[in-house]
Amino acid sequence: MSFAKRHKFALQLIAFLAVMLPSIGLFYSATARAGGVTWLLVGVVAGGMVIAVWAS
Amino acid sequence: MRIVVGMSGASGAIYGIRLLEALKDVFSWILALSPILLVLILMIGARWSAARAGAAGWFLALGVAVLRFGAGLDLIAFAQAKAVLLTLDVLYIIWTALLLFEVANEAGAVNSIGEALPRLTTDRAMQALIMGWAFGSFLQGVGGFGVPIAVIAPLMIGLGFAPVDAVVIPSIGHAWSVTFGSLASSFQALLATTHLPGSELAPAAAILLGLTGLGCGAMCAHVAGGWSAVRRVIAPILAIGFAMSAVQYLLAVVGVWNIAGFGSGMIGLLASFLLVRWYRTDRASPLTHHAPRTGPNAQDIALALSGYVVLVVITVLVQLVPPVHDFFNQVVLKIQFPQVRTSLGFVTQAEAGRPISVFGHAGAILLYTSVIAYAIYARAGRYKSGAKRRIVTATLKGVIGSSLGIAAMVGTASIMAHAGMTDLLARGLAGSVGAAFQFVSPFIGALGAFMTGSNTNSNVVFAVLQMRTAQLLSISVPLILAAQTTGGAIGSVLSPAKVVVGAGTAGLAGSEGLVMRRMIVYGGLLVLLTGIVTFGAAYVIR
Repeated sequence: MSFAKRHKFALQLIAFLAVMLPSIGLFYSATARAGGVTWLLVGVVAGGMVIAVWAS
Repeated sequence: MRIVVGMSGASGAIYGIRLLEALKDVFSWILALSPILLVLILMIGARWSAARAGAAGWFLALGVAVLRFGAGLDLIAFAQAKAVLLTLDVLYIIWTALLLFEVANEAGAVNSIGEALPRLTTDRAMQALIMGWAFGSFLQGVGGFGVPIAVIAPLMIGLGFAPVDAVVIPSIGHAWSVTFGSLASSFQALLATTHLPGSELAPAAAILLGLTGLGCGAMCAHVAGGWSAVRRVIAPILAIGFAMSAVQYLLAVVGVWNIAGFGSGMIGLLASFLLVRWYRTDRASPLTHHAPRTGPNAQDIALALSGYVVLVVITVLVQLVPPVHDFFNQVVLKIQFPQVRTSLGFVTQAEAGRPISVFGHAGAILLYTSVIAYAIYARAGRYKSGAKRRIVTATLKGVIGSSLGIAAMVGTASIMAHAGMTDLLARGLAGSVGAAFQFVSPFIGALGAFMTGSNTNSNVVFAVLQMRTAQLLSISVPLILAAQTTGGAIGSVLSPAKVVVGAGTAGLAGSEGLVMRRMIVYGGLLVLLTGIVTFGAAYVIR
């Protein structure tokens, strides 16, 4: 059994948190026009989506 | 006679420019549609889960929004932040609805009700109505997530129904109850994505779903015994159907739509119980089945239903008694989003994100109910050791995949809306389908649910598109959104994901095609009838 299948629940949980939590920060970083932080947070959300594709 | 074919140099150039513009428009329209198409192809063709396909769709939407529609970093950031608020609004209900179901299920409440029902009658068609339609709607009201099929199909096989019929009957039977079922999570998604008040959308949705409910009842009887069975039990179909539809309508219209599906299912069970006492079809019908003579007593049934009675009491108190309502709705999460604009000039006006009342939300009400129901069942000695851990584990494992899928799809839909992709799709649809849109509308909802396996996801992906198209064509928005969610409700029970679950519980793994063929005929007919009703209603409601 592959790593992704063995740890499906944990990976999906990480993916979910990676999509949800930075999105709250995105509002504040975009409002403050903090481009670097916004890029970083969008990157974390994208990372969560990659894990979602891999683990689901 | 000489026929001149061709154009002068100047008009040819204009024609060429117009053709190029038109091709560019078509190309943009196809690109705007591509995230939806990708999710469709991945879920149906490649059998990907909603979470996986939704995440892939998110990446494509992001790419198209940035590269073709001129979305900037700030726009993407605000769209994603808004999507998280919408996701939380929907997930709050889904998580706690499943928690309440697991609390009741672990206490044996669902089994107690399921075992008691077949004892009411030995008539096959009536059993199909009571189990597949009334009990299926009740289970959808309190649980959802494929629970009606998983619980009822094995019980019906035990009663002597053929395995394919045992899957098809509860699948079709509970279809009409999906939108207001699962404590109205699909309806909540409709409100969250369109930003329209429930009071505006509830009446049309409840009426259209109620009419569909009558069709679902007739189809349950048809599966059980053909047209002769439908004719024989037409009076119970009308009586139970009217009772369920009327209660769903009343609860939805007074603002407690989170218990509209559950309440209608409860009334359906009560109506069935009363009807079989005086409506004896047994002697007239050759289609009788054995029914178990032993089962739970009245006290067991009362205890099984007690958790749901608590839900009704708390919901009515919090939603309808002003001082209680005000007390529980003091803490509201609300974010004001600024206006954003793409580099192509598409503007999303400044607006407040979806407000979430932390302690007065339908999800919070479900949470209070779950705790009280747990205390009741525990006091009655209905739990074995380790029950708490099993309830929490089953809830977490049950929600994580769907939560991820919803988060990804809501994100996709939000980016598409903010980048102007949804608006372009709506304009294209309005221009091409035109007057037939009201007929096509439920098919779009059904397609969305068929591809995602969820009425909620269909509403998230297509509700704004349907709303914008209806606005452009000056058709009643509540009517079109009612058609969207009704189509979505029917489409969700036809989805490969649900059919696989149903077939699996009935021992038909590997023979899903048999179930799918029957389901497509019944479900397709329901969507067709919904389209015809919507088409007619659009000329009455403006």
